[in-house]
Amino acid sequence: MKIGAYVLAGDPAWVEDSVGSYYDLVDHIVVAYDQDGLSWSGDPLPVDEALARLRAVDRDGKLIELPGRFSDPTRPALALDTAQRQAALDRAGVGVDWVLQLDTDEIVASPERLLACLRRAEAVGADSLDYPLRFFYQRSGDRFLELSRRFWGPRAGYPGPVAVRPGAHLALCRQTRASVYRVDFRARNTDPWNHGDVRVDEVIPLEEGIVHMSWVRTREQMLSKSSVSGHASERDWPAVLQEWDRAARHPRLMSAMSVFSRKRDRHIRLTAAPVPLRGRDWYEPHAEPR
Amino acid sequence: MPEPSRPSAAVVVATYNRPDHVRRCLDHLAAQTVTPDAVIVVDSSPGTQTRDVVAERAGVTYLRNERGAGHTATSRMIGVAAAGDVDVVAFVDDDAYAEPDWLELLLRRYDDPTVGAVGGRATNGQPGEEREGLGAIGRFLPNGTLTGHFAADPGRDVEVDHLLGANMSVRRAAVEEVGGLADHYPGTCLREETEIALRLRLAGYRILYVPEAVVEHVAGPYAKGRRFDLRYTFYGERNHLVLLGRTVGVGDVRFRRYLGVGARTALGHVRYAAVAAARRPRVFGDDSKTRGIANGLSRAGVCAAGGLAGAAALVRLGVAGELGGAR
Repeated sequence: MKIGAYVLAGDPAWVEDSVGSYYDLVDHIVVAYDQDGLSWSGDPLPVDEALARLRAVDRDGKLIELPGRFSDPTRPALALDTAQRQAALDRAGVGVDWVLQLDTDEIVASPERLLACLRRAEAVGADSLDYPLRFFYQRSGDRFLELSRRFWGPRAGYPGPVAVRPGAHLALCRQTRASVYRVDFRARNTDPWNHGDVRVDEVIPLEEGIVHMSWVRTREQMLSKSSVSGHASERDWPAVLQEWDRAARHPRLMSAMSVFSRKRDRHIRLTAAPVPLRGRDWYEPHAEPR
Repeated sequence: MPEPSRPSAAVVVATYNRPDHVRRCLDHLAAQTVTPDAVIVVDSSPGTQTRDVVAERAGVTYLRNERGAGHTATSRMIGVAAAGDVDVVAFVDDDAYAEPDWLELLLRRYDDPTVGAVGGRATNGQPGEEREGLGAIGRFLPNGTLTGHFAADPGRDVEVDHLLGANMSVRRAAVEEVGGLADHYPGTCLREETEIALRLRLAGYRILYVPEAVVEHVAGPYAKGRRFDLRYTFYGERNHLVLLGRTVGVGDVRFRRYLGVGARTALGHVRYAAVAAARRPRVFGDDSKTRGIANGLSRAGVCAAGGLAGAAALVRLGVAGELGGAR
């Protein structure tokens, strides 16, 4: 089975951990980026830093760079996100059986399990693989805050299929309408955004889920994220950052109180480091919240 | 010109009171691109009409299943025993009409010794059925439930966990290796064909779904109407518990998870009745409220009764040492 991958260059925070976690699985990695160094909404993006760090981990020459113009303040960010991914997917699908679509802050905790699930998806005739992501929200000392079910049970996230067939059409961001092989942490769906009885094809241990470090960042990076994210306009960022700061200061309290939240993306639990991390300089001394 | 080397094969047709369907089914078997070594009709009907239909056909064996209706698995067992020393036994329902290359396509997959069973599509004439359930054909899920979708066309062979009895074949030696067929699925016979497939899978054999191998599945006269009736629900629950007990065993996590699925299903029916009870009649004399309550409660009751009947059957099988898993 030949596997390709694509990434969007623009978010360097976890790029070494992310790409390094599946580098050996893939034949090539297409790197799509905006050649003007701009985000979808027109803000400056650290594209050069992301490219430099990607090139640094490319020990076997697997990167294929795909520059383009993906910034347009007059168009919805999610439409541009989808277009950029589609261009990358179309290129990454050449000569392979599957294409991984992982963001550069998503770390494959168990490449062996991911590969086994991909093989199973292939055998049963599915055209995409939904593999669970664990969403990490904040760090406090050597502990991490992770989104969970109301009473701290494991929770899976599915921003879109982790792998799709070449030629797949992306409906929105990573999402497709292709037939899916769905992996979860429990035999009954653990994604609060899905119905409890949605089909689960395979159950894996929590430790083997993909680690999504989306909000485990410095405050500066979070401020940057608030302006360049495709979902930037959907959130009240000052309030979001205030709560995020509070979580770093009072992780136990935050976790305990979260059971009372009526919002399904506010339930949180404390956990250890999900995978061995490379520990970049920016990451170790957590920026002191103001 | 002699046929190229292929596994020897018998085709077994289990039937009950459908002589006209049997006639047409045999017409289709006679038109196969490879000639089966035996065609066996196993009849559990009370009359002689099916016997008369088979008597018109040279080379077709007629056998009786004296247990009557509700014992399709026994009919299969009789057919397999009569098939003798063939490599492959194929099953087709009396109301399933095989395309000319059906058997040839199934047999081709047995070149691989890891393949224990092969089945194909059963078309029902429903618009869009070829796309329904792609990626989820014939699966045994971690919560102990099954998926079907045996009309789907993924465009290539796929691995499955079980097959549809209307269109399936088994490697005879593999079936013997896992202990042969058994009949513990009375009533609607739901799940009777699933047991042998799951046992083959648990023994490590691969099961293939070949979408090119097509039968046209027309509903027989007694299968028409509302299939998902109370009887179907009762035997569905009962037979599914027996299936799990016989295959993975009652100690398996999938068995326990299925108990949760069954309980949630029954509670869902109770909830349905409660919602109906809280509903205001839209017009005077509207009896939808009464029907809603009765519908929900009766289904919940039948679910529970099916579960209890399944539990009783499992106790009997346990005493007889016929449960799976721990064997």
